[in-house]
Amino acid sequence: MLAARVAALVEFTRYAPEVFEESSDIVLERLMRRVVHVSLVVCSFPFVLLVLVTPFEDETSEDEGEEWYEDTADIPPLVWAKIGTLKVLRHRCLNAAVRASRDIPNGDHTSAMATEKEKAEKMVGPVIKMLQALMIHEGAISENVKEEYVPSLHQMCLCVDIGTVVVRKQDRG
Amino acid sequence: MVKGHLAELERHVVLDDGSSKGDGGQVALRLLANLVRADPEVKLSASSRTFEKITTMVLETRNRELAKFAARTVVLGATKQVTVQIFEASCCYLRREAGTDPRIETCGNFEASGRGNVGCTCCCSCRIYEVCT
Repeated sequence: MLAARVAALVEFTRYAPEVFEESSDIVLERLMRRVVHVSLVVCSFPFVLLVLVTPFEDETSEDEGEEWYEDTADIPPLVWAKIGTLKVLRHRCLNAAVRASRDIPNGDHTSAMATEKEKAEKMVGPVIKMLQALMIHEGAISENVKEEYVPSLHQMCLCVDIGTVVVRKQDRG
Repeated sequence: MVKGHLAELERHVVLDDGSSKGDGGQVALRLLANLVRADPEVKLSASSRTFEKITTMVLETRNRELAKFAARTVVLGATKQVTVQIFEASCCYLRREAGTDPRIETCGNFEASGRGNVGCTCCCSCRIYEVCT
């Protein structure tokens, strides 16, 4: 059930960011506590979270792209929920970057853009730190939450995600 | 022509019970989601049965793909008002599961009814969905 709910939230984040932002605080707080901070080891499933993250190359490839792990039927719901949560965070960062680079017609352009950039930095910063933490703790959000992982693929995925956020921000900035 | 396809896809989605794997309803939903994504001008009909069905998929299904494409269809094919309502109802699941929202604990309607009321505002502002059950 949780994986399905998170999958729906990803769509809201992606296509209706202004709607998502209205309740983003409680949603993200819940997702972090209920999903990201929950260890996969608890499920007795030796799996890596981030191996499954599909590279994000353009707006359409995410749906059509192949999963990195073929037997998707074996993947437990918690892993899908974690992947979904990362996608929520990623789309939120990208949307913030877009807003920060958007022209403000008939307004105080400089001031509005500075405000949006400040908001975007506040939003993206913690996500980057979280991804860094995932790298440092080898797939876990902290030392207390241990995940099984495959280092090479794991690190590649993180780089893809971090790179995506940063590069997209620069592209749209 | 698009309207004809749209109506046909909506009909398949509404008729689908969502229980069997790989059936026509799920395929129709995916096509519907891609249709509204491809053309921003394409909007769902105002049929209450369609929205009721898709909303149920977003809020209640355990099928990840179904929830995903149902949400996409709503976000891109429905009005903003409907999108907001369904999003709030979707958030309600997280709030409700948490069990820490003070509004849930203090709401008499929620406690008394046993399954929540339609229009209950105990844990969210989603006034038209029975999400407080």
